[in-house]
Amino acid sequence: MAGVTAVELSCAELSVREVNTALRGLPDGSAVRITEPRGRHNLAVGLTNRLDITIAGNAGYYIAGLCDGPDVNVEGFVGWSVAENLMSGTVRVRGNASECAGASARGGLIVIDGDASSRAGISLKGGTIAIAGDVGHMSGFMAQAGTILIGGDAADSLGDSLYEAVIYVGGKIRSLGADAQLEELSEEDVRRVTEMAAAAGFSHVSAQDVTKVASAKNLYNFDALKDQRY
Amino acid sequence: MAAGADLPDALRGVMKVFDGFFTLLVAAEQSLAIVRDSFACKPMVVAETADYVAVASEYVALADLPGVDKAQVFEPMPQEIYTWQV
Repeated sequence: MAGVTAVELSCAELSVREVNTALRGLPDGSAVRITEPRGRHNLAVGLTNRLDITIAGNAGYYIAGLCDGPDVNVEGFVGWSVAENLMSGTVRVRGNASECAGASARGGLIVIDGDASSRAGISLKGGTIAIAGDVGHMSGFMAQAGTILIGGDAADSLGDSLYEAVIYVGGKIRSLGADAQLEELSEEDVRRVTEMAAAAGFSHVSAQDVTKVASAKNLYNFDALKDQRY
Repeated sequence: MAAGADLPDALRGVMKVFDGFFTLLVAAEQSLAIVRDSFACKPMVVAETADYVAVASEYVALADLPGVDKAQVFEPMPQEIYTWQV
């Protein structure tokens, strides 16, 4: 998104609350640079305006969480739960992400250019998480919908207790979690992976060569109509 | 350790006894060790340089250390024992 204004917010001068209040007040189309983040938590959270936000450095927990509109680009690494509960927009991390990247996200695109730690995509409910590198153990745990693309390797218990979410892995899988299974790639899968890799800018992922992981549905207990029986 | 075990051996013994979630930082006279449980539920981040090793639960606590921009910053893997000697 091309910004029409350029705003700089320095974490050395403003509190996190002041940064987020300033972001909420900006008109759609604004370009913002958040400087000296130095690991601060909760930057650029809960925003619904369409901003182009750059966080110039390493950031802390919950970066860009709960957002429904902006595009956020982090020029460094992030702590736990980046883009948790994301509704729409794009969140890109140029470095590594700590645990629970994209937790419970419902939409949008989350791109991690480095590695993601444990439980990436836990309880994912929609949208796409694309990780260029490796992921830690229990990634995709209880993911209900959406797609996870892993360019590198996956650690133990990948896709434990999956529902409808699908995981594609470019590298090796150390082990699958309970009720996760490998499935044959269809032409539709190849098309989806090609699109995701293009959107994420991953040239190292070969869509025909990824491994697909989905639910075996032996533990699948999800009945949307159960409340109507009471 | 009083019986002669070194710090990694002692922590391997601890992991057989401890249940639940934990992240441990143990300092002995000449060594420092860290270990997390198998789920790695409790946060830990390490910044390592040629001059120091710094450990915290959040990077924000390390962000103002001298030279941290050039440090190797990483999260310890679950159940892996990391040690440093003084």
